[in-house]
Amino acid sequence: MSKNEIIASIRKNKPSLIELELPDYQQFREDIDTVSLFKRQVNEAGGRVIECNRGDIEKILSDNYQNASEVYSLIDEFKPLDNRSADDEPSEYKNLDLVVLNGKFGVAENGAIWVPDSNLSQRIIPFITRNLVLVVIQESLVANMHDAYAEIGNFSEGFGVFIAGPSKTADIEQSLVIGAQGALSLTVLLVSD
Amino acid sequence: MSHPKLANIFLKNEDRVNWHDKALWFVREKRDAAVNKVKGWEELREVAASIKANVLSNLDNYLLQFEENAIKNGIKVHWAKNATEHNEIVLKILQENGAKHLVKSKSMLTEECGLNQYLENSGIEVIDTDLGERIVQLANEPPSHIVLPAIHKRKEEIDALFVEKWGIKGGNGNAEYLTREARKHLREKFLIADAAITGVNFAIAENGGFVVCTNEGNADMGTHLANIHIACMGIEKIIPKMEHLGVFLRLLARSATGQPITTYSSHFFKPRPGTQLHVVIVDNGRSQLLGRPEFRKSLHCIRCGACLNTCPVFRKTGGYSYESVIPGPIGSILGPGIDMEKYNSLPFASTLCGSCTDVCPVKIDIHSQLYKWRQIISPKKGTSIKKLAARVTGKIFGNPILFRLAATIGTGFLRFLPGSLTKNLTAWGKGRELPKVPKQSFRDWYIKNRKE
Repeated sequence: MSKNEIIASIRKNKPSLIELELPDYQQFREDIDTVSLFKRQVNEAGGRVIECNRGDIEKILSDNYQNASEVYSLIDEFKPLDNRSADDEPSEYKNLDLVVLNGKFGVAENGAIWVPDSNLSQRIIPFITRNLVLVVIQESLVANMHDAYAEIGNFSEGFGVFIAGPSKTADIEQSLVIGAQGALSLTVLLVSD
Repeated sequence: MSHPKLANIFLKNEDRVNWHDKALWFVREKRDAAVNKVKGWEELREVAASIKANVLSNLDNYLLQFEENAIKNGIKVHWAKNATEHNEIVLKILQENGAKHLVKSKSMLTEECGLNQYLENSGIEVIDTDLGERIVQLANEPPSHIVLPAIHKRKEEIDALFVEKWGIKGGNGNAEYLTREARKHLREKFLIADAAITGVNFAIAENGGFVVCTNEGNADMGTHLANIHIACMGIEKIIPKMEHLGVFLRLLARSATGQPITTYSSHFFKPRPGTQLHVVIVDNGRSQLLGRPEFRKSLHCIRCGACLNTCPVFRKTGGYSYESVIPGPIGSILGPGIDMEKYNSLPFASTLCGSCTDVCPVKIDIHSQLYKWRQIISPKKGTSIKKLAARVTGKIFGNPILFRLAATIGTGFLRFLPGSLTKNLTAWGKGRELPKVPKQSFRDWYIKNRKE
C-alpha cells in the first residue's frame, strides 16, 4: 500500500504539467570523420583498434592470442577447436582468457560499442574474461549517442551494454589503472567489408 | 557537529587538504576539457533540464508506466515509503531465497537508507564492490564523495589497510598493485554471491528498463553471476523515453570524471533466464521535496559530483565535514530538506560563488537554493550574537558622537593589542592580516587640511 501513498503524495505535491518538448537532436550534429574519431576515442578509453578486412580476422586473432588458455568465440570467422560451450553456468567462465564477440555498432564520440543479448550467449562473458575482442563493422559507426539510440530503436531484448574500453578505476589517489573488475584489455577489430 | 567544527578537524592536516583540493580541481579541469569538445553543450544541458522538469510534473504517471512495463518484462517491482521499508523489502527478498552473500555496486540511495548495517545485523555478508567503496567499507567509514568515495585517503593508507585486512604483502602504495589485489579479492566474492544489489542511474518509463553505469565493471560482475539482482532507485530516477538516455549519458560521465562515457553503460530489461530481477522504488522524503517549489529542482540531480569537485569549500574541507550522505553543494540543499535541525549549518558552507550552478549538467540553481535555505534557517537559528552586534553597530553608526568615540577607542586598541588576540576573535580573522592602523582618521585629516 506504500505504492498508493507514494503516488498520492506525488499527486498532491507535483507542479502542474510541463509539456515534454521534442528535443532537436540535429543541433548537436557535427561534421566529423566518424572513423578517425572512433579510433581516437577507443584509444583514449584504454582500448586498441586494429583495422582489417573480414578475411584477416582469423589470422589476427591467432597471431595476437596464440597463448590464450581458454577461448570463447561467438563470431563465425574464428572458431577455435577447444571453443567453450554456450550452456555453461556463468561462474564456469571464471578462467576465460579471451572472448571474441560481434559488436552491433560503434559510437564515434566516445568509442562505445553496443553489445545486446543477441550477440551474447551469457551476459557475463564480456566482463569476466581477461581479454575482450569486439568486431565492429566500419560502416556501422554512428556519430553520437543520439544517433546510437535512434539505431537501437524499439529494443525488445533483455539486456544490452555499451562498452567503452577495458574496465578501469582511479579510486586510489586518482591514478588511472586499466583493469579493475571487468576485462583487463579491449581490442576492437574495425572491419571494412 | 556543525560544518565549521568538522572542517576544522579536516584542516588540521594541511598536506592532505592541499592534496584533496588539487586532486578535485584536476577532475574539474578534466570535466572542462571534455565539455568543451561537445558541440552545443549548453543546449544539451537545457534539453536535460527540460526533460527533468517534465518528469517532475508527471512523476506519478511515469512511475506507474514504468512499473507496468517492468512487470511485463518479468521484473518484480516493490515500493518503499521510507528507508525502513526499503531495508525490510531487500532483506525479505534475500531471506525468502536463503541468500547469505551479497555483492553491491555503488548506490547512494542504499547509503541513505543505511542498508549495509541493517543487513549485516541480520547475518548477511555485504560486500561493496566498487574499489573506492570497498576501501571505505574496510576502513569502516562512509564514502566522502559520491563519485570518488575514497578521495580523502592517501595511497599509503590504502596499502596499510589492505595489508591489515587481507594479509597481503605491502606495495608501497602502488595503485596498480593494490587494484590487482582488490580484483583478486573481489573475484572470490563475485563467484560465491547469491545476490547482487545495484543502484539505478536512469529508469525508462516507456519500456520498464533501467541503466547502471560503472567504470570498473563491478555492477555487471555482480548481477550476471548471482541469481538475484535487486536494483534500488529513488522515485526521481525516471526518464520518459529510451532516446533521452542519449542526452543524459552524454552529460553524466563528462560532468563526473571528464570521460565521454563510462566504460560500461548496462541496460537491464528482463531477468536472465532462470533468475530474479527486482526493482525497489523509494520515496524517503522525495515526494515532500517535490511540494516545495523553491527546492523542487534539486530532484533533477543525476549524482555526477561536478558541484563537489568545483566547490572551493568542498575541496578545502572534505566530504566528512558535511556529515550528510550526499556532501558538497548538492548535499547542502538536500540535507536541510531531510532534517533542517541536523543540517542547518550546510547552506552556510558556501561562498555563493555559483560555480556549482555553472557546472551542473541538469541546471539546478544550486547556489540560489543555498541562499534560500539561509533565509529560512537564519531566523530560526536565533543568531542572537549577530543580531545584538548588528543592533549595537546600528546605534553607533547612527550617532556621529558615538561613532567618533568608538572609532578613536577602536583604532587605539588595535594599535596596541597583540595580533594573536584580534585574529582569533572571529572566524574571518584566522589566517588573515588586518591592515595597518592609520595614524590619523580621515575626519581628522580632512579638518586639518581644509583649515590649511
